[in-house]
Amino acid sequence: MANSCGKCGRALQADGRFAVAMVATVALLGCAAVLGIVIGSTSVGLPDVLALAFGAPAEQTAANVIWNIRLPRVLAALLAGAALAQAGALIQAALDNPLASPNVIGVNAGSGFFVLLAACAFPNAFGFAPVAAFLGALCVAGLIFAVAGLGGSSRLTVVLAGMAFTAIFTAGMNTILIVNPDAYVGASGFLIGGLSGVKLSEVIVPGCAICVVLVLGLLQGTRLNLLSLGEHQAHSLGLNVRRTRLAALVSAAALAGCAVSIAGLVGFVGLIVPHAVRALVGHDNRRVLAMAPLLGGLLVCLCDLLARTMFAPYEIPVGIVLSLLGGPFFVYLILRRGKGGLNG
Amino acid sequence: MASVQLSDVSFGYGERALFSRLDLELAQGKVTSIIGPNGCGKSSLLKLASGICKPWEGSIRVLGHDASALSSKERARLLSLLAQEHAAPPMSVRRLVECGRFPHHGMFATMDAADYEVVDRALATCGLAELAEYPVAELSGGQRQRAFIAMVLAQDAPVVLFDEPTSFLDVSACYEVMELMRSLKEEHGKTVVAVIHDINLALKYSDEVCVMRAGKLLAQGAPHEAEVLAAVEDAFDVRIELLHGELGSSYALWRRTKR
Repeated sequence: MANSCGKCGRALQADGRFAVAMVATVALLGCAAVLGIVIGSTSVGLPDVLALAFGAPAEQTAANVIWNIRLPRVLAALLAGAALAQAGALIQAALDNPLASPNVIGVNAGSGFFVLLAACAFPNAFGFAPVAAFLGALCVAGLIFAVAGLGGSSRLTVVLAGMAFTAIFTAGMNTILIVNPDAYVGASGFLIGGLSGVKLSEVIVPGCAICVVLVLGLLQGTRLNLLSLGEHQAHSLGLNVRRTRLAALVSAAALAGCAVSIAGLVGFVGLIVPHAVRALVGHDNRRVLAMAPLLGGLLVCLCDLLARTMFAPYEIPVGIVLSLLGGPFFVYLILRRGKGGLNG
Repeated sequence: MASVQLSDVSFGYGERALFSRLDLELAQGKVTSIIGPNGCGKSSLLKLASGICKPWEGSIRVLGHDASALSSKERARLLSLLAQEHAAPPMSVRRLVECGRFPHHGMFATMDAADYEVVDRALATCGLAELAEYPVAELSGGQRQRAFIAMVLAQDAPVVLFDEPTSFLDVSACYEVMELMRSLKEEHGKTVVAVIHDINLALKYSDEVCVMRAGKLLAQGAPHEAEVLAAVEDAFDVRIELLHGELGSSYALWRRTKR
């Protein structure tokens, strides 16, 4: 291919850009995590962090703060951000719809409804919230898939069904809150969405699940790329279109379910991060699915840092910061659309 | 052995039957055109053959294999379809052509040296070596169609179906695509089956023509056989007059008839 070497440059450039973006994001992610551990109302020095990391004896207060407050919180932010971002990328690719995200197809509303329901049924068992959130997300994913199957599995069907389920579950949530206001006490932290008071023990199980599903998500890139050729063409290439969609939607629901069980109903990450990633590294889903979790984790980690330091000693929920910062950024991406920023 | 064989196939959309007990056999190693008025079932025929739609009754065989018993990838190694509408996917021409290798890969395998060679050959055959790194969205209609044909070539199935490959193309791009289709047969030994809207293109470039109307096969044979031309007149409600040009080509002229 000697005659096309000039053009080969274009491919190499894209590879180089992806590598640089990955390395830069990982580095930033590390910095954000360290900042997240060091900064807070009780000051913890970098030496303490290093000492703990290498198993040397550290000051007792600092060790307590790191183990019980900061580390769980940073982990929760990273995991929730990573999960929601990849969930958004999976859903957008599976439905070939740039507007899709976990909350658009009703996963968040379903989780919220189930958490409230659990708070009604088991008023004294707070541990139920994550499980209920996960079941809710999965339940909505199942409903969406059933409707898509009955309605001819057009991509529009899925989005419209998602809107319907959001309406239904939101109505259910409001009904519960009016009939049984006590349920709100058990579920308030969850419904507002935020990372304050996260415990390490609450993060471990959903965190492990997120890691496993993230890897499964990475494996779906090639198939989702084929889907962008159109259903019939993908089918003709030997892709099982239905199974590919199902796998992506179920993975996304599992990720979103785990994420909301850690961080409550934070939504915007799943919509904006995939778009930002595509603006950075292009549309190849193998890359988008690898990059999205990193950028999502970084974004939520930084926003949580802002959320607890901007108005210290008061703390605003991370979801609010995400919307305040993410909204304008998203508008910027939309305006760049003509220049290849936001495609589709 | 037939490339695609439909026996006793009934099929339709919703409650309405389009085909009832249709029998059709497409020869191997030929360029076959399927022509007929809108809604006669041409595209449905390709959808059945490629497994996008399942028949209500009857059986479909691809190169002797029962189509319903094949896995998606097994089928895609025997038969490929270039669908009528395809959005410009957000990838480079090379990546698009690489997609054609998908059915040859296992669950986790990726492109190897042999695959890259097939892709390079397909790009060269379709005259796209220079454009390989360009985004598909930046190509003209004719170039884009060539890129998809290169993908089909990389898929390397012995039977290739085209669903109206020349719609939306200008005249020279039409001829280019038709010639590429013929070269698939002549140089790569493929069986080519195409739904063609332009009857002159179909008559000029095919070895065999199937004329359909309302879900029935009216005639099947060489392009200028009297029986085929009569079926075309019947299917489209026209009278045909063949003009023979000095360069050895012929052109069909039309006059609508009232039924």
